[in-house]
Amino acid sequence: MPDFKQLAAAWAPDIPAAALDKIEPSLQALEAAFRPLTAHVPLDAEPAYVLKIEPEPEPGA
Amino acid sequence: MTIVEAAALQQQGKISSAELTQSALQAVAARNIRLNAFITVLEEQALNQARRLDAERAQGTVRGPLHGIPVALKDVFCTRRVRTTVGSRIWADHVPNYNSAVADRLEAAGAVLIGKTGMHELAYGVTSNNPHFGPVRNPWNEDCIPGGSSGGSGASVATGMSLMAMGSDTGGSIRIPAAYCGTVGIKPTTGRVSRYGVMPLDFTLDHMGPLTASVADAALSLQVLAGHDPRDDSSSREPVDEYLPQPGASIRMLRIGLPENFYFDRVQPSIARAVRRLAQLAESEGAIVKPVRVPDMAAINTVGRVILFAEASATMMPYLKDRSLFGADVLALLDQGRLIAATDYVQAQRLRRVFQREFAQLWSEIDILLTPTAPNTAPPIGSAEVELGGEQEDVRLAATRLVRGINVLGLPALAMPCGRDAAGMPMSAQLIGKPFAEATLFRAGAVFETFV
Repeated sequence: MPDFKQLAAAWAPDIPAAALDKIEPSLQALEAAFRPLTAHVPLDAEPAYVLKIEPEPEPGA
Repeated sequence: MTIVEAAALQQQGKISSAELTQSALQAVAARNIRLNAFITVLEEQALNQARRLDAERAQGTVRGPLHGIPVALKDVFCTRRVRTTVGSRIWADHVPNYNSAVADRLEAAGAVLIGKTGMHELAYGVTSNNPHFGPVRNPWNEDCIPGGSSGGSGASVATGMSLMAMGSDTGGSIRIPAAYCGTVGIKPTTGRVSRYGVMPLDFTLDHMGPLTASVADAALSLQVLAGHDPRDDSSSREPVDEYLPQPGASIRMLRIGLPENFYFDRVQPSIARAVRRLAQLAESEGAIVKPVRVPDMAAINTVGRVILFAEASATMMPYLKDRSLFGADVLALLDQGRLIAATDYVQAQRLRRVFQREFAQLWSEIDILLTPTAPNTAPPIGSAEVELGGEQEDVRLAATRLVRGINVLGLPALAMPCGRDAAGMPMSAQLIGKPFAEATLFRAGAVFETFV
């Protein structure tokens, strides 16, 4: 289980300690549910976000 | 009154758009002070627009199926020269100089915009208990939440303040208020309705759709809204079907899946009974009801939460320097998103693809999946937890439990009323379909509507 307080100290030091105390159980629960799923990602599974590339119009077209 | 009825009365010359709009505005004047469904009401603009549309009709021009119909937009849709707050202090005075694609399409179809509806702050929550604009209240019990994040849209349609109101849905935000307020709501297939000009919460999970008083009204509305928009990268070029169910539409031989796992776990018993009753009645109408096992929806919800947290926090990063801009619940979610690793976000998007493939196998067995929309009826404003199946559950996690996964999968889903519980609160069924099978959902929904 990651130490979310240490992560916050490095990535988001402006999050107050009291706020971290409140969100830590939720993050730990999410971590516990998510981590086992990552063991089953096939190598060829591409992420499901979109980047559509269209040809650029010819100059003067 | 429904859109179908109002359109027919206008066509017969029995009512004008100005009269319809006046009636909607009277409903706003009577109910909004308690329900707080609107952030902005456009009384003068709406009446002027209605009169113009009446004049057009008198000249023989009918713009489309929503000609003269009073509608509302959730305050997340940008509207030219009309304040668009996103339910946030950040944009409390924001007046866009352009229209969202949805606002443009509604205007082109002749709809009359009567106002912008209240919502959960930043569309990031299910209660619509907004710290900056006040709580939106449930029309069936003002002590209860209307659901969210499109809570004002649900309350508006349920009380006739508008005949249609637009919502946005990232993890259930159209279907939850539809369920709690007793309206119809459709979250279309990913790419079916343009996201252009909608303040984003989550780039890959956001969907736009209407809340209405009937299934036919939802079909008519989606007909106007659907179609390709090159300004939205996720917008689909798939042709748009005819959505309005024909009179006497049949569900004979329609294969309806009734989940054996997940969807009826920890559900208010009266809701489970009401949804199962729909299945029984559908069978008596010639549908084929099959028990099915669905993929691990709890895992799909988990994937959805990782994506939601990461994308929403990335979107709001420039504003997080001033924590006073946010309500406590939204800030807690945004803080969590900042602690999601980039590798986990990518893994979640890859898992999404895996689960899409797995779920798609269901469509060889069934045409639609029938489930409850929410496991409970609307809880009281301010409650943090609800009890379901003998367990305490966070209000947000409970409300999104049966709907969030469908955003991850990108599928269309129709929420529709299926009765009231002993306390008189609305209960709702969810019809989930194959990609771009909205017409099938409307056909089934129109038949189910006759059962209720």
